[in-house]
Amino acid sequence: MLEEEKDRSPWHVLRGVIWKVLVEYRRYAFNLASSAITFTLLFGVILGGMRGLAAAEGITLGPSLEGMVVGLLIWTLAVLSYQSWAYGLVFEAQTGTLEQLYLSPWGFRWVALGRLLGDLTFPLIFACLPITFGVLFTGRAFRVDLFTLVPLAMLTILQAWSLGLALGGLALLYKRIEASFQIMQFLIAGLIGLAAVPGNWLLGALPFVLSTRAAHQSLVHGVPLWRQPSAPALLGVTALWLLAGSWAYRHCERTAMRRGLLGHY
Amino acid sequence: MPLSHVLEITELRKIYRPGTGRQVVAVDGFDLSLEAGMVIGLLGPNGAGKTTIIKCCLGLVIPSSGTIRVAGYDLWRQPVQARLRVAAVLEGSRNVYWRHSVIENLRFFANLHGYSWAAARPRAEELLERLDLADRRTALVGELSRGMQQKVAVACALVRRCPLVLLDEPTLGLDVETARELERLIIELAREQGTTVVVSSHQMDLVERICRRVAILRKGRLVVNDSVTNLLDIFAARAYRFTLENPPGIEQRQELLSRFPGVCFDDAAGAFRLEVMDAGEFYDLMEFMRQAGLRVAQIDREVPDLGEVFLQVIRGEGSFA
Repeated sequence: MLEEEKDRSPWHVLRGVIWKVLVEYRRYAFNLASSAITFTLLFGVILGGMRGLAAAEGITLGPSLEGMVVGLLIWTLAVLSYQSWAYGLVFEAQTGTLEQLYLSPWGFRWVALGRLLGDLTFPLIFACLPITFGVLFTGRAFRVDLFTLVPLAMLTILQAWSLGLALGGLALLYKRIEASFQIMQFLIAGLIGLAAVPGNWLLGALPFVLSTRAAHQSLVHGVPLWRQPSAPALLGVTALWLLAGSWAYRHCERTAMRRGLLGHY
Repeated sequence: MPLSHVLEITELRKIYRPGTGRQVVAVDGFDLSLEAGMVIGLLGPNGAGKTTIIKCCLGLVIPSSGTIRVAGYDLWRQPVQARLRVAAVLEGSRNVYWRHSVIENLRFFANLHGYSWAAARPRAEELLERLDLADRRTALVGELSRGMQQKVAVACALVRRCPLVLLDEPTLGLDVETARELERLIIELAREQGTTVVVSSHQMDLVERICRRVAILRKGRLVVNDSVTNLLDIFAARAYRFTLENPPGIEQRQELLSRFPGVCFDDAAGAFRLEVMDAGEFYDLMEFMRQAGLRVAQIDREVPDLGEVFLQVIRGEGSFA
């Protein structure tokens, strides 16, 4: 038995969870395609509608439309990231497999990390849609600097994970909280909107505000992330929110384990 | 780390506090030590604390006090070492992924316990063969019968090669053939690989067939921890059935009842049953019958099954009060 243990590692847990997520994507490719169509239609209607309205009223909408593209980009990343985690957790609890995941010797954190990493593909692919539509409807080329956009997307996703962790934790305790998942979409839209409000450093401490500002600077004005003065603050805010989300999840998890609620739904 | 016991539970206590100041004592000072290769039945009526004990042993429920050691490792202080050595099939939950195939489930659960698929694959193939699932390896679990789904759940627990396996109601809802197949597998696991298996079940016939030992719980407390053979012997030794050639008259009956309160008559069969408290009472009865001229045609020692023993224990009868 001890001989075998040498070959056992949490990396296999991580690999296994990511592999399982990818199998699900492949198996449910139709679902993925439907989501892509829904998002395409949504962005088309929003951006196309804005441009059509502006044309009818004889208004120039250049900066507003660009702002909307950036906002949709961050919103897509944020919503898809927190939802995949929070809904995934609820799904595991509903189907009864959550307790099995908790039996992993290195704890649930490796399973969670694998799930989060496996689910990265989805928001990253869909986040390309707003930019594509932006090019189509604004008629201008956005400055797509991958060395800025990829880290920025990751920081946005990490902030979204913090919300997902907190909501997932609440789902362990209170079970049916899908309604709050829906509300969160609007809350995220509101937070992204706050990016347009100038000054007040306190606003910057809220999730997605600095990400949105940084994305705007990069996509519209071509300023790389590493040359933006708010970059260190963005890193710090992301780390703080991630810590807060992890703490909230851990706290809810311990409470659920004390009350024997982990497997209940 | 010495492997004296595969599972060692000491003074386990779990109190749930559902709110409004109430508290429910689910487990109250539970002790249990299990050696390698033992198959033990964890029995008790609903709410006796069986599932809580199992979930405490898996680290899914945090106990209020007490210690649990798996293969010598403290479950809460050395969680990785302890959890590497325990697997489970839980009752009432699906345990496996219905939208994944049999082989995908085996691969995932092997990975979940830290095995690479290359290392786990031979074991997975062996389990597929032994559980007669080989030709359904690529079928989605959701499309399989209830019995096959349960076999997949058991295979996913066993692919982890843990020295301790906890099975909560493993054969619930299974047809006789599938249940027997699982029983054989459990017995072989213990015998051939030295796996310690804890089976929590309400199915007494299953427990009687596969378990060497039983632990019976009543209101969160351990009331019996003995071998199945001993337990059956204790109860069997007490009850005798006497079939007579000539039935006793009214006076003889009254005297029998007054001297031996454990007597009950079965007039249709021309017999009576006596539960004796000690060997002396048996000889007293024989002497009484000789003097009363009651001729004994047959004496049978009543052999209760585990179900009857269990009922007597949880009702608190005899020395188990």
